[in-house]
Amino acid sequence: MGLVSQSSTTECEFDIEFRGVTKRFDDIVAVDDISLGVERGAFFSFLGPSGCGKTTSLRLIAGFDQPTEGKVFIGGESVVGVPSHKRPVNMVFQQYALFPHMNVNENIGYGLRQRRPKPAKQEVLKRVDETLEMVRLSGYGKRRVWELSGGQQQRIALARALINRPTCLLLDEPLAALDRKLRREMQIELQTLQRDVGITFILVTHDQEEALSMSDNICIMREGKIIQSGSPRKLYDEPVNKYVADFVGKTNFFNGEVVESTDVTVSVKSDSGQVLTGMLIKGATAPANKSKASVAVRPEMISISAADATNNSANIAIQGRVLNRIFLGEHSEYLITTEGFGDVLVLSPKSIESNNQGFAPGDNVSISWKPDAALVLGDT
Amino acid sequence: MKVSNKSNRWLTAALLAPTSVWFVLMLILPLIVILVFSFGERAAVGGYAGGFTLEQYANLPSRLKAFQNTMTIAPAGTLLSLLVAYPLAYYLALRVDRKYKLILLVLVIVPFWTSLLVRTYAWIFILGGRGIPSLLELIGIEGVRLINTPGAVLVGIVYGYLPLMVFPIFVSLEKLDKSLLEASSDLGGSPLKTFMQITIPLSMPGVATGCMLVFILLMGEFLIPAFLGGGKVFFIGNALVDLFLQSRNWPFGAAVSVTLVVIMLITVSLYMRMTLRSNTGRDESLM
Repeated sequence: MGLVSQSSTTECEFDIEFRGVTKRFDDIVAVDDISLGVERGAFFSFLGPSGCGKTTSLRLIAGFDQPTEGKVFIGGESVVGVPSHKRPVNMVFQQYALFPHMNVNENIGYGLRQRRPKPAKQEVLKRVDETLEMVRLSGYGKRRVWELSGGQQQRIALARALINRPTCLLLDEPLAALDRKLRREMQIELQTLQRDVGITFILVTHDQEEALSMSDNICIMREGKIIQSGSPRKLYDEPVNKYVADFVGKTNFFNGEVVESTDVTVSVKSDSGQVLTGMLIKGATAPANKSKASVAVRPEMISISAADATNNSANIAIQGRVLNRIFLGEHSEYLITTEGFGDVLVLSPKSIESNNQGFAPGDNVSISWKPDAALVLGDT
Repeated sequence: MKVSNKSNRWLTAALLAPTSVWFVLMLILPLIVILVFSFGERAAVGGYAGGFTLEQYANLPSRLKAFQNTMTIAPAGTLLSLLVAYPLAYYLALRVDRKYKLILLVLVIVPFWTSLLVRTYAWIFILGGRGIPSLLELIGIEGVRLINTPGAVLVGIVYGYLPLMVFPIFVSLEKLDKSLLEASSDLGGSPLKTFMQITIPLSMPGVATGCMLVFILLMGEFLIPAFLGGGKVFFIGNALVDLFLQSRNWPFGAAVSVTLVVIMLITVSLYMRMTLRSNTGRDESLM
């Protein structure tokens, strides 16, 4: 997957494709000239804060809204002007939107009953039973939907969509209403289900952890635009800017002004006058001198040692003092205050600490990282 | 806990007392009086003369026409009000731009600011000889008589009772979760099927409430048939006015009243059982 140039002809390798899609509501631009393709059978996520246009994008695929400009393709065919009830996609709604006046069987069979010619009652019931089994709720068919727990309602909503064997399943923050433990379970269940049925899943979420753990590909959005899209790994290791690095995982930022740059490294001078050097991401152009930029270092890339310990001179090292330590089991999370670089978050694995019990608040320490662990990122 | 329970009980009793007293004095007692009167005899000069007789009830068939009219026009008027009110409520709840919603809702109520009597009087002119029929004559349709027909009474009923039907339906449509409509469409339901399978069933509580309100009030209606029925289309209400105020036959009037109450109790309880069953125990089922 990747960004698709607007002129490319469809080879139907994409299940869902956006070409120059813009959606305006009065004078608000919800989606701003987006082009993208989702490969057949992929688990794809739109990730971003509320109001970034991710839900609108999903609604454009479902057909609840029509693009102001551009085209949406489903299975290689333009669906411009096609109403939602004629599109081969199905949606799992945020609050599930189960029909309260129907029981579980009637809810799940709803999609089949809309078809013409109308399938036989026995056939519908058989398919409903099969689908109930798939979501592990066999025997719940006669229940009223409001009698079910949140997790069960979620699975009924999934079953109601999947029974129609859509080209693509759309999930609008499907796990937001569940508690944390149930959410983890459902994440795994969703992934398994997706592999089993082999249907393209498109997920909308504001939860980066959810997107990272489930998706093959993620599209990060802000203010209606795509900021970056790619595999979770790529977004984590090679964020194109500060926004992405901040959204995907935790990161330490050292903000400042560009003072010097080469083809591979950029030096940034912080407000307090300290200079730090970071690597430029492959293919990126160096930011101009005097422009705002940040050096970003992931907490797990930083190692921590006693202040007087000798350091590998090739590494970048900063002196500091431990402010706080949170024991997380396999990791410890340190907050270190430094002179000139602010507070730094360090994630230290237990295996390294076991010999010296780690550090306590108030200890003077030295933190260091390899030069290639620091990335230089533009602000936008 | 016992003490506070006890004081709670006193408080509850105190709060309920005014309503209870009002209820007993203004509803229960008069009903008992009516019931007693209905088994009595008419005094020679009119009014009530005591005694015990079933004569009044035996005489009921003489007012058969009033019962027949009420029992046909009240349900018909309810149904017609529903047919007119539903599209209006649907438009107000689901279609109209938010900006205009409040204004349009107020416009539905505005007629209530004038007495129904005055507004119904206006219909006499609209439907009367110099109203619509004279306009029809201009385009060559002659001899149309509208006033003093069941049709005129129905028009008056729909006009007068529309807001009572619109509001309960509007409320149930407005609180209808719009994502249910999207879900239906998403699952392949055409707009018509979505309307039939989702919108209508989920607005039934409002429909039931509206129909009940209008029907109960229509059973006792007398103003509209008196004005627009012109003595040709009369309801039980008109018969009662006649019996109590004109011919002063109180015991017979009482018997007609009791019969009306009994008919209403039977139809309303049948109706409630029907609507409750179709909503099997949902908390928002009725009213």
